[in-house]
Amino acid sequence: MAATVPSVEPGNSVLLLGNPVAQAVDIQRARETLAAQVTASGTVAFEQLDRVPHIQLARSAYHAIESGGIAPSAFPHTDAVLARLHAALRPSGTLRIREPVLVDYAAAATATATEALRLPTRTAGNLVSALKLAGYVDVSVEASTPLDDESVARCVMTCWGVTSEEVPAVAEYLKGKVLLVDVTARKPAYEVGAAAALPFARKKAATAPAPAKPTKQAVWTVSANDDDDEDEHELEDEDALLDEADLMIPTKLVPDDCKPVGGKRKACKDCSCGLAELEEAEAADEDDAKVVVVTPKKKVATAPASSCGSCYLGDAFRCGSCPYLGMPAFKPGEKVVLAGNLLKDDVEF
Amino acid sequence: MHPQHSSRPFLILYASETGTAQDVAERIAREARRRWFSPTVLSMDEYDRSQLIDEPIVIFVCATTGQGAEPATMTRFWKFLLRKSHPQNILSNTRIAVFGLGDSSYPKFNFPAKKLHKRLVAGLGAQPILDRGDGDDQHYLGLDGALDPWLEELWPKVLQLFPLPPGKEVVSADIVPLPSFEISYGDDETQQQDGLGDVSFASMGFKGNGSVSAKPTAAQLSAVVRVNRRLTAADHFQDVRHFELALDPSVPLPSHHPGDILVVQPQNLPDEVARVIEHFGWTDIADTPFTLRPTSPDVRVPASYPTPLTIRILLTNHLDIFGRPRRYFFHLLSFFTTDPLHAEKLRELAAPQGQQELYSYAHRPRRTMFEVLQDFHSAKVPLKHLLDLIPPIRPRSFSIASSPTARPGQIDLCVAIVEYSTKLKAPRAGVCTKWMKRLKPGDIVRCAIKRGTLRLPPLPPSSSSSSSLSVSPPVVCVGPGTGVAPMRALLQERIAAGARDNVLVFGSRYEQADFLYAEEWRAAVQDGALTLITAFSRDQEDKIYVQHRIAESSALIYDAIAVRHGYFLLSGNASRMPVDVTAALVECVEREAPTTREEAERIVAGWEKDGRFQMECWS
Repeated sequence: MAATVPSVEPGNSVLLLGNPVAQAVDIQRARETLAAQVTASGTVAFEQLDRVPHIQLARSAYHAIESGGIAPSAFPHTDAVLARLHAALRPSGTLRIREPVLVDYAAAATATATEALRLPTRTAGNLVSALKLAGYVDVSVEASTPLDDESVARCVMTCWGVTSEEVPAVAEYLKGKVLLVDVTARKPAYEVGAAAALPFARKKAATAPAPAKPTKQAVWTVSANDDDDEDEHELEDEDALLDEADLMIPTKLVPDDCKPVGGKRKACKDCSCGLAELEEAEAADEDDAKVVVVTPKKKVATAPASSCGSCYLGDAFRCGSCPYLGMPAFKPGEKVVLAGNLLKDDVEF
Repeated sequence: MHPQHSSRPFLILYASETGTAQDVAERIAREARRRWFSPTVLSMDEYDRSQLIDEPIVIFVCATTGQGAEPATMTRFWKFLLRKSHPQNILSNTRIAVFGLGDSSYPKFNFPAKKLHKRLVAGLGAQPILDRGDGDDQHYLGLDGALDPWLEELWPKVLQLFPLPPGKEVVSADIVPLPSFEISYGDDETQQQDGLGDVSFASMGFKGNGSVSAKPTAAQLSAVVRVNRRLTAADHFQDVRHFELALDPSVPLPSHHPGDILVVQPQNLPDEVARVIEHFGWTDIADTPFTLRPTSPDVRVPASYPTPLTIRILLTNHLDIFGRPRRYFFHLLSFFTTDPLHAEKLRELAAPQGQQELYSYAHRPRRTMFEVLQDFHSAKVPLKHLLDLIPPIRPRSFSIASSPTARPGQIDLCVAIVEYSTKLKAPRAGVCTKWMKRLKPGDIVRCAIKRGTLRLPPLPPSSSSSSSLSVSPPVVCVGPGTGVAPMRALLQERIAAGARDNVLVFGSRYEQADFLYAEEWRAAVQDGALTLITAFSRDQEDKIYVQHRIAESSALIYDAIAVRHGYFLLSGNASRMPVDVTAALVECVEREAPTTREEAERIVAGWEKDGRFQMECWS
């Protein structure tokens, strides 16, 4: 695993990310290398990669961030991490990362990751997209090296949080499927939330004050605060505002299949009615006051034939032939009676 | 007048007559809130119009009133927009959308909204987000028939112009929305959300279970019932009532005119309200006082609600629980049902694809909200959500049937009680008229007086009953059925002022059963103050209607209107009747002038423009 390529300048403020498996001596060496590059006028900050989701990084602070250069370069950078690093970078700042990716989409589809299980789950292409979505520009894959089987096995065992029983199977599966990529990316030169006038922008109220607007505002304000005593102000003829098209009256106001009787009904959930049963049920309509529906499925001798058993649910559920149409919902087993004032016919015929 | 602009202001201006446009405006505000806008909802007469050019987006919700006029609350704002002095592109930085509420059985369907849209776009340069929406009561789904598709088109276009803030999504309509109000019992801070707990308010001097009437607003009057008498025969299928109401003499009244309209605020019946209270299990707390607290700055407690409120008062005077549910009702109710079958069905009925079924289940049989609640009995609606579920009871308008000169301090009404059957076993009854039917002398009616549109010709300067000379031009009144109500007011006024050259054309079904105010008209005929022409459609083989009698009396009518420059006034049911009567009038002119059909039509149109041919019809 090669050392990182120097990319920082004297006076830069740089963030270096380490990883939980790295040796202290390797970390130390990487820090010193960077410190030499930024010289005494620059600074090198250090964090652990797995701590990044849980800490507050300084916003827009670093000219460059480097991650994955310290052995082992076995740790993918999650979307959340990429976003946080983006915020920590200064505009035009550089991100350099090295991480393992999968060789193709088939492998990517079967790998899943959690915070504990840090398997690589992306292809290089996915990683590039992830960087772009996180707001980086000029994303470029500088190098791509397949990881040999021994290295894969070592990563599986020590870096990716795979449980010991699973290690053999996972290592076997990932053989030949892992690549190590070096990727650089840049944070755009503008900061989120900054505003700049676009050269072709029209005059809008909020931004550049347009020469015509002050006049409009003045004219309107004067008018608006005027007295309304009508005779002072000449008004447009409002009847002249309307033309042929405006005088048209809408015509399609009733659904086409609106029939005087019944209308379009949805069949109830387990309707099993046939036409003959429909006729019978309608004939039995008159005797509803005496009806007791015991359970939805059983048919009681005195009850009007219920085809589907949804009668008790109310009109919204009843089928077109229901003998209870027009009556309120009731509880199965309840005697169906029109309650209260409905019995008293207050319509004088 | 309106709160400081947030980063996503969204202005909704409404012009409402009965409250429906306000209802629509509030729905739009709900949907705007779910898209992370900060909506401001104001009536057009409350809005500080000097702010208008700074508004990035304004939605106008505009009702129609009378025969096609804008609501009173819109007139000032409208006249302001009409000024010729505005530069043509003054609103070019503002994006607008207009939705009108109207009824296509009126010829001037949605005229205020149509004119508003035209003026804003063509005259003032505003940028329309989408086409105007024309809500129509005659659509089988009512207003929703136009509103739902219009909103579906509106929102994507709005979000294109004003994208969601980064990281935000449209809040799902599938979560329970915040209620508009919180309920606050008692003086202490403890909140009892579902009205449980006992609080004693004897010390507040509050007597429960009373008919505590609402605080009157500026225009609200209280009239006392003196007479409630049935006019139609006892065996006739339609129940038409004559009411006499007395205005409180100690309250100074603006003088009203013949032809004016009484706007009545109905109440629900006490026994029906008791049944609703029992259904919700609120019997023990039905008379416990509470106050409402709005949960967001753009919500206000309606001015007509008294403080404190009780559940009984709310259900009796304010919530239209026996009215017809709109789609949002089904949507909101689905959150409170514990039975998954019910929830699923309610969602289906609220979905766009379920509109046919909704029509079949709710609209066509005229099912009430309470009946839906009884069908979906698993629904447990907390009180605070009930206020969002059930809209307010809308006032109803009736032509005043008495003349202020002949009957000072008295208001007569002629009201047909709305009763009919649909496939629902329980018969249907109009919310307002079923209450009015039960009014007894001494009962209070909360009402207001609104200007009517019918205008009499100038009356003789002083009434001298001995003089049979009438200086005033003749008047022909056509008032079939309850359309006779404003005619009675106009004719009483004329006769009291000594103008005796009057013709009444009255139509109904049976001379013996529903000849409204028969004795009064016959007395006026005896007195020489009225020529009476009647048409009783079912008293013979052929149907004879007022338009037939008009055509038959062409000489008399032509003489009165064309020769002696009289007025021809029509009132009654909209739809076919005005069209047929106009055609009959044209026929009179054609025959008597004599002239061609086209010329006759032109003459009659001229009379209309001059205000000598007037129609006030309702649907």
